[in-house]
Amino acid sequence: MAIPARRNREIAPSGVVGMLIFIVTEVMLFAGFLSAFTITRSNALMGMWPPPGQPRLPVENTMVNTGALLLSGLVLVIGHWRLKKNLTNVRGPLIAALILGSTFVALQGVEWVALLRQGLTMMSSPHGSFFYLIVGVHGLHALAAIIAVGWALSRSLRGKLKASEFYTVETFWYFVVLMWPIIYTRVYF
Amino acid sequence: MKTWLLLLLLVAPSVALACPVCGTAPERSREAYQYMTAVMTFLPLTVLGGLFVAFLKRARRAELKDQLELRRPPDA
Repeated sequence: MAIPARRNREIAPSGVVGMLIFIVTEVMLFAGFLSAFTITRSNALMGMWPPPGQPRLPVENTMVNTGALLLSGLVLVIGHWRLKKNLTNVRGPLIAALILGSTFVALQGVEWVALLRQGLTMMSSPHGSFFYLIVGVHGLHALAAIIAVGWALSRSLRGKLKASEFYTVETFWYFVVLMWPIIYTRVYF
Repeated sequence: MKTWLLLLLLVAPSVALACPVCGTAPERSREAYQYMTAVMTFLPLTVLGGLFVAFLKRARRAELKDQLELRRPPDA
């Protein structure tokens, strides 16, 4: 009796696996930043943070940005479910995620300009250095995620988007979305 | 060599206490060091462990699917 040949079934698209490996390294990068920030903050003179003379971070305004980013993640979850029916079904969620992600980055830009005017710079104090470093690196990731979603959208409009490509972009977007609440609660409060 | 090291520790105990988590630092700082050490130690283990378990589950599910397909009669 002939033994049936063992099939090699793909358990996850290669793009997603590659992206997950990349995300693990990025998680460690942010963990390093937040670890250094936590220790520096714990050494603040008389436990005062932000240091005297430095502006308080706009917790309330940033809540709007946070909402926009979380909503963009939710929109892509909807896209994930719609993709199972039809590949063209993801255009709406991709456009919505693009708009919400851009809103997040634009509002962050507005916030930075206001903080710079108030005297918070990279050189003004460890408070400023850590704020611009951590939030800035996350902002760069958000920008990269927006470019990735834009690329997926353009492929979808040309009818060339593959499901594996969507999943890869989606994985990166989730990383950007889920990383933010951790940064927000650690740095802003 | 050991005797010299022991003598050095006896003569200069402040060197041994220079470590930020060994007793000289304020309570807040010591807690932060300990907390972040735990985070940096367990985070990679948790993330990689989680991915490993997720892939293992997916592989097992795929294998089960293959076995079910092989058992199914050809006309079904």
